[in-house]
Amino acid sequence: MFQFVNNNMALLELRNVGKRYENSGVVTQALIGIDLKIEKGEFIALMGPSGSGKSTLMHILGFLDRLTEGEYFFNGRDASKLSNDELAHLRRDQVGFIFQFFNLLADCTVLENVVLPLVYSEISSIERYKRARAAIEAVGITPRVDYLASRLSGGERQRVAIARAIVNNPAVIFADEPTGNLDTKTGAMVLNFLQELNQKGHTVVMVTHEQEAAEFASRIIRIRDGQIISDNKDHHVRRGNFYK
Amino acid sequence: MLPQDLIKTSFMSLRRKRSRSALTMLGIIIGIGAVILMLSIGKGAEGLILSQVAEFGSDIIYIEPGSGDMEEQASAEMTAPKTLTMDDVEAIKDLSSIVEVAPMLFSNHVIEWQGEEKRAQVVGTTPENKLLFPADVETGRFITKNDIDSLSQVAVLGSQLKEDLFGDQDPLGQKIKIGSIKLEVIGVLEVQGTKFFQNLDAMSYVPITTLQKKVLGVEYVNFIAAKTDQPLDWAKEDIRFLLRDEHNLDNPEGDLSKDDFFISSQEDAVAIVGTVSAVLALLLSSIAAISLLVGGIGIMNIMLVSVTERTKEIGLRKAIGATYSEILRQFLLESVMLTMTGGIVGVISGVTLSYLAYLIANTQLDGWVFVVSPSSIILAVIVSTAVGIAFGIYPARRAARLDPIEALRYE
Repeated sequence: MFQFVNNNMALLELRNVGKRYENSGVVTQALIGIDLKIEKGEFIALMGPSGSGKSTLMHILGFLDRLTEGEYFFNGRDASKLSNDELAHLRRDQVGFIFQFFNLLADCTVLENVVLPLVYSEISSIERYKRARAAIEAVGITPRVDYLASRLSGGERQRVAIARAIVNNPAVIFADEPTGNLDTKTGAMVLNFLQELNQKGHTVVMVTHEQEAAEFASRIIRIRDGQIISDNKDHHVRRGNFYK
Repeated sequence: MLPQDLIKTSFMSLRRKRSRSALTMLGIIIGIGAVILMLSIGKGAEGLILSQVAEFGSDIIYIEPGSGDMEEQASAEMTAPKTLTMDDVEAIKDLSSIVEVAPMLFSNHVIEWQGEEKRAQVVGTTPENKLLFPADVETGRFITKNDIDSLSQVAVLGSQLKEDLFGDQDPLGQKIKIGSIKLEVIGVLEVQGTKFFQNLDAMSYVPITTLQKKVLGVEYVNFIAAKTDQPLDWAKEDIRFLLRDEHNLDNPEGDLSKDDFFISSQEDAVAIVGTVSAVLALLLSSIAAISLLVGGIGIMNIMLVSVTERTKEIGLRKAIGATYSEILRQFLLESVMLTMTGGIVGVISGVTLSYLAYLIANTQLDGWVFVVSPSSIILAVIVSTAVGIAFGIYPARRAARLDPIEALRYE
């Protein structure tokens, strides 16, 4: 597991980060000069219209994509020069992902889906299933543990996805439009849950274009044309019971 | 990723697409199974032929009329070569390297006794008949030298022919008719069974001179068998020189195609059977190679489809921490599992069918052996595994190289 080098250091730090895509000669600048520090325990909403670069930013922060300019420090360690395998190991050990379309393996059970990230680690089988059951318990779908993912409702699926994201006890949870595919009530429940995780000490980075969803975060960062246009660190957090 | 997790992951993926996996394997199963079966049948037939050849003894030389030249022999066959005579037999008998000589003349006739008629092979032979057909008489006696010299009108019957003509009655002393010639039955042979696909029990044996002169009116013999106590090649050479001399052949360079006779031995037959089975094995191996190639392409095709279908799954696996090599190994193992299982099922079905073939063959032919060489089984499994690796590597690399973001977005 990753060791915390210095408690005063930001968990994630981007220095003058840029991302350029080149597609058959056409160059697209997705991100320009991003400077960003994310501290442990924050709940961040990355907002912006589609094509603004918010997803690209999240992918870079989540080690799914590489920057083309600048530097990225994770826990004080330079992550921009890591190999593909090292990035994969960071994703495995330090990061949890929640996707808009859940991305569950439809013909696997809830338990099999949740245990999946641990399969790539070297944790013993017994310990793995213990952790997976605990994560399933935490999102409150224990009665569905042996159901096939394809038989669950949208809300249940997203809860399985959340359980999968927290099963490896990640330093950061990335959520990409987690409510985008859910009705308001279920969406609120998911947001409440993210808030709860945040209160338990998980750092949460959520990409959303919904103002209502962003209201649940403690910090709202707005992006437009690949640049940060506002960064509200003292956002008044809306409490989930509003929806309940 | 632990090896057992890798195996479990690949296995679960294949199990989810059960019928597709089974159909994909079918190509390999049929390929491997057919080759195992064919090789086993080939070996069984070879064993059968060799065991029959071996019964004739390794010290026997066969002399046939006509040259060994295949083309000439084919055309000569039409007019039945008549170049060997009883004079040759006597001359060969006098050679110091030859111990015993048995000439034969074959002819097909309707044999009649008191209105009963039966078509049978009539073998003109001598007391040395045992050189080729080592059966004893059950009742009565066999043909003697005296019968040969005096052209006696006598016959010895095979056990089945006796049964067909006489039933339970005693045939000894009875007169049977072959054409217009009456022959006295002097003996019945014990049961001999089938040899070289001929039912020896349905034949009748008469003095060769009687068949030549009284029945057919010919001088020639069809076949001479000679037994030697010298090295086979020496004895063959002796006979060759003798016959060239006897037949006034001018053949100083020893060109076999110029001879009007052909000498062979069991060794030659064994060599021919060996060559035939080697060619057969080569042929089967090429068919196996082609069928495995086709099966392998089928596997590659299905794996490519599978990779495309599971793009999102691959994206997810990479997003949650799977490395390039973990994805590569998962997909490679899936194709290897398909081909290896196909290979094993192929071996099992091939061996089972081979055993069935052996059971069926043995109801008809004695001496068919059930052979499945362990090396062919091991080779089949190794080759099918190798096919899985060879044809699985490309789809597996495609899967492992997928960009996780693109893969997750794939619809």
